[in-house]
Amino acid sequence: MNNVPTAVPLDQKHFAERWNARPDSTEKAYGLQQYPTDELHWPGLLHGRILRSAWPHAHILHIDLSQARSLPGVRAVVCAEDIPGTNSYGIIFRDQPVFCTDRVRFLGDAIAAVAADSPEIAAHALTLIKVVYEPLPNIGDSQQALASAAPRLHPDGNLLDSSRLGHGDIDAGFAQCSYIVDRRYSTPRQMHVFMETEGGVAIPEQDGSLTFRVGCQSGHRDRDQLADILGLPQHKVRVIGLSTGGGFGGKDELTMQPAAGLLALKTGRPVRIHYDRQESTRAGIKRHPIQMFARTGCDAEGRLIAHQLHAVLDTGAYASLGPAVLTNFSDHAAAPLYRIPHVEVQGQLVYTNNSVAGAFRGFGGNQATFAVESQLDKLALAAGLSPAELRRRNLRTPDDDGVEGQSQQMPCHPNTLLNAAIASPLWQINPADAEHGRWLSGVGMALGAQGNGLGNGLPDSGGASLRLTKQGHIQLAFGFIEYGQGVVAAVQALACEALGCSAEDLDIRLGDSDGPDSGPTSASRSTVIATEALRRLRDDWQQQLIQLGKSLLGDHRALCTGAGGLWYDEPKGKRAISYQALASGVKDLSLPALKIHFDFPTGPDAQPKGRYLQLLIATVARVRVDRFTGSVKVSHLHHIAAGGKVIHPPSYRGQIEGAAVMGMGMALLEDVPMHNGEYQLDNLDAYLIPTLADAPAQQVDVIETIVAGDQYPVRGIGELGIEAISPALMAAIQDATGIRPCDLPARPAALLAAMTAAEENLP
Amino acid sequence: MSTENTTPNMQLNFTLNGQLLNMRVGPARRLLDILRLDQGLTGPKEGCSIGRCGACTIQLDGAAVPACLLLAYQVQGKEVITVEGLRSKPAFQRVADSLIEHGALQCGYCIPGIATSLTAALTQRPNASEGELEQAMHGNLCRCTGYSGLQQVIKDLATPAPNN
Amino acid sequence: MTIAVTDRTQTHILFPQSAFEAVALAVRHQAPYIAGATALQLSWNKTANWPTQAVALSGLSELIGCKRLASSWQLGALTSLAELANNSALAEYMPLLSQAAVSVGAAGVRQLGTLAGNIGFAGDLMPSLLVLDTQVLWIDQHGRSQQQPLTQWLEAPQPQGLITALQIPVPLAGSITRMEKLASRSAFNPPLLNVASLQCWQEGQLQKLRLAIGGNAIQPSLLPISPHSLPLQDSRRVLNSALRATLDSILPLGCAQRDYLISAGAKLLCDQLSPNLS
Repeated sequence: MNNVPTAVPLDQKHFAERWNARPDSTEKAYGLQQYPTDELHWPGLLHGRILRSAWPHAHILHIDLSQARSLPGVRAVVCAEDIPGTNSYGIIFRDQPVFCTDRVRFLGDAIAAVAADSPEIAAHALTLIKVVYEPLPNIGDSQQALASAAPRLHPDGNLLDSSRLGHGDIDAGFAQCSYIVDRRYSTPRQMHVFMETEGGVAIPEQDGSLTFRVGCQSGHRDRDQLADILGLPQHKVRVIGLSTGGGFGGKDELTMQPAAGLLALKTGRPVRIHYDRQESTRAGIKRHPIQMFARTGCDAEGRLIAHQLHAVLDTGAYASLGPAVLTNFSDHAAAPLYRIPHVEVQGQLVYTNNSVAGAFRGFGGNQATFAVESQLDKLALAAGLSPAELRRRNLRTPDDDGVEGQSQQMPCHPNTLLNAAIASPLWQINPADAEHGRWLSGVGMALGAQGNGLGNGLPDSGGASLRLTKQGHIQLAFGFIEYGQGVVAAVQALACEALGCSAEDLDIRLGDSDGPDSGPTSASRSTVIATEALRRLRDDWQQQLIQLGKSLLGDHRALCTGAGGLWYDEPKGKRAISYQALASGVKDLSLPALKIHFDFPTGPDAQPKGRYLQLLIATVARVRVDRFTGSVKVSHLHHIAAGGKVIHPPSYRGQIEGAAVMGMGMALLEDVPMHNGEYQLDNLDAYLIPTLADAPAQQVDVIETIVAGDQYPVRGIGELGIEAISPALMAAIQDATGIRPCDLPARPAALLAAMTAAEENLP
Repeated sequence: MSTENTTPNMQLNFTLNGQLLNMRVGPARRLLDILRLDQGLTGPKEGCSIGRCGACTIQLDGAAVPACLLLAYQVQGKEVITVEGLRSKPAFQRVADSLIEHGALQCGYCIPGIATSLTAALTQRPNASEGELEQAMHGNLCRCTGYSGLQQVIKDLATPAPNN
Repeated sequence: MTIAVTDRTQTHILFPQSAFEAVALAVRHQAPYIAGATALQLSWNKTANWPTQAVALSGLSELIGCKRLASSWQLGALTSLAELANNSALAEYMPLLSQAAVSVGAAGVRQLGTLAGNIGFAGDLMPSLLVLDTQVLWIDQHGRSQQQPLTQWLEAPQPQGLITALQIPVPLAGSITRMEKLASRSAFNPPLLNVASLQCWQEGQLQKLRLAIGGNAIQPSLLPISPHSLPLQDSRRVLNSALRATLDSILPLGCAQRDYLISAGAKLLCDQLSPNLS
């Protein structure tokens, strides 16, 4: 098969057959959808609150719960000594205490929790908990953390991890360059701002077990940790990851579950905890703020010779997924889309007394891409080439190995995206805009890549179960959790195709730790796992159903699965037996029930590096900059995405558009500034995310065809849209104003100052 | 009038989703808590508690207002409608169906607020232009969609400007 | 055990039947006024300190509404920002005020916010009100009706005084009014800086000029300028410099983003003035 990949608009016209509303549309549009924090109906429900540290860094000398415990309406107050099991959690290292004992390391650290009859009593009880602290010197940033005299935040010091990757000889490389550019870059401490904050209910069951109905991203992994914390065997803990209002990585770690579980065990009653936005800001996970220094060089013909990037990541008080973010950041920092003979990336992951940084859509990759793409534009300028031409001369091909010699599966040649980006109608600026009125128009572009799966040879597996129920439903279960990304729509579409049934035949179960473990709902891996699971199950499934059908019908004519039941091969159009009849016809035989579990595809390498399955995106951005105020308005975005086959077009498009605006927020608006471990804001009045007034018009084109031999035509596109947006916006700002911001968010104040200085020809 | 040593409460009478309610309640109790905790109506959601996100939007005498900022006494004698009370109304259905058609929702948490705001705007101004509808929606935040679907819904439901 | 008065469950709301009764209650109980209470309740939450009593103004319908008098507008203090934004007569005759009202918050909070509340919090409307020579009608703590220029009210605000209305003279024919809000995001955020201007041109001469600023962290005030004190006949560059110097003299030294506010503020004001210069 030799398809020339073409970019097709992702709209109803071009994808008419696959275009339908996601299965949960009606519930959500009509306000019928129940969320984890809507579960207020449980009999005997208690309201829980968590007490957070009053200091960014301190010893705890004494905790007195007695006054809080004797407040009428308070049913339990718990702290570290009430924890039956391990007092710690964390996906990679369990270094974060459930409740602090002798030391607090950031303002979000939990000290104790209360359960009370009403939210007001719970809030009041918190004020009655007496904690005596001995403040310690704060570590407010990475530099302070690495200083020799800095207090050690953890036993092994403040450097949690470091990375080093590349190839060649970087100094020799630079010696050969005709042009070299270097620059500092920084990206902010962004906050997820899922509209539904962390929350849910812990329900004690009659048999001594505990059920959690919560917003989370990995029910099985959470179940394992909760069992350890609460001193229960795993089979006595059940986590039901309900359809929740946003994740983006911020619900990857445990949040309120340990406190709620402990309170539920203590009181014997269901306990609800719902962080308000201030608590979510204080205690929730953030994106790693990163300081970078990059140096990149090319020869006289614009061929890249050497690229060096050093970075420091502020991981905050505890490890969370910091080491994994560092790894992914480093992979992207090595400019993997380009052939560069000499590359050196060094990263440091540093503890501070700031907010814990962890998983956030893009996972370090988009911050690195911002620096890399910005470097290339700067170099192009120095070398007298257009940004597109510099890229064209240096793009790697799908056959090339990765930066560390690893195998990678690109969906297509990056040239295809480059060409599509160059051909974007956004470059045709309206002559009226080009006049020097108040607003300056500019257009810019950038390329990005995103991988699927946890990568780097880490254990990464998933599974599913598939059975015919007594009522004749096809029950398909995954451990994934729906948090808006559309996994429920993708699974439905994939199942209909693989199993040959219709949507009405399906009973899709997601997010139950009593069901199959599909691994975490993160790293853009769900669609890949779902596709692969169904691929492996389909033949067995069809065989079992057909055999059952034949024996019930008592005839040997060929059958196939279809909508509503089994159909005859000949004559076409005649249904042989419905799924209901199949199910009820089974007497002594057991109903078909299958399970599968397998490893995430990581390619042929014995030691995989980075992520094997790759996706590509090009983003073209048009902006208008206000000459008087430095304000930036993003008017248009045009994305060309190569992410394999489109499973559910509205979800694919929605994920690219949503990720792009999230990236736009990081680029222009969002930051949680901290000073000496203290937050400078706590809510959405000062932490500004884009509103409808800021939203650009967006166009998404897709390339579905994949290179010959690629066995994974379906990829996960959840993070792809955030990859190239930041550098594309900065390139557009540069086109409009001549100024290239290198510190995100690029604030109007800094832009105006730079524009004014340039006008006045100041050095 | 001595107000010491008594927990304040008032006789509150208001119409909720078409039903006349009478209750004794603290005058400064948030309407959002009356709706969600006391009345079991979880359509309006809590996203920020300071009136900045729009997730708690309800209709007060026909106008879209954040319930987290309304104090009980402020709804005395008024009509409150939540998404639960709007579901059966054609004006709301038109909005909800447009949201579905244009794929304008993902996690859906912002949607009761968005649908309530849009319905109020269209009910108050049936011939609202795109610009007027957009302005009505600046207080409804969405984190999942980037607002593209909502832009299409507004185009769909607005009255086009008359040709010059 | 009694719960200390820290949260809203302990706050008594008082319901006066008239503006005068409202003042009497506020004085007797040392209680704050609440109208929409959008900003007040949030600051009480932040300090975990709700008052024992608060005087509710929302029942006082005589304080709501916009009236056109012979040569002025009278705006009831409890007129909602939504009403101000949607009032078509106001939009036609006092577009500055309409525009300023629309710049506040978003549609939902504008339903709750009031004119008086906005003044109390030195909000977005202030610079526009200042350039329009607004008069404040209020009742003092002794129950006496008072009237004074808004500029004077700002200098010595009376916490127990109750604003009942604003009176704004209709701008003279030939007046050009403009305002602009400088903020971090396109919509629904606190102002870094609001700038407003009123220019009255007669027979090619600038007879009257008012410039005013305000912001989230900036006390609203009229700029100390006059038609003669600004170099309006010179180039934009020179005018810009003069405006920068004026802003520099007004803005408090410690205010956040000071350089930016001076730079952008001067450009915005220059733009508001210069299209009308020869």
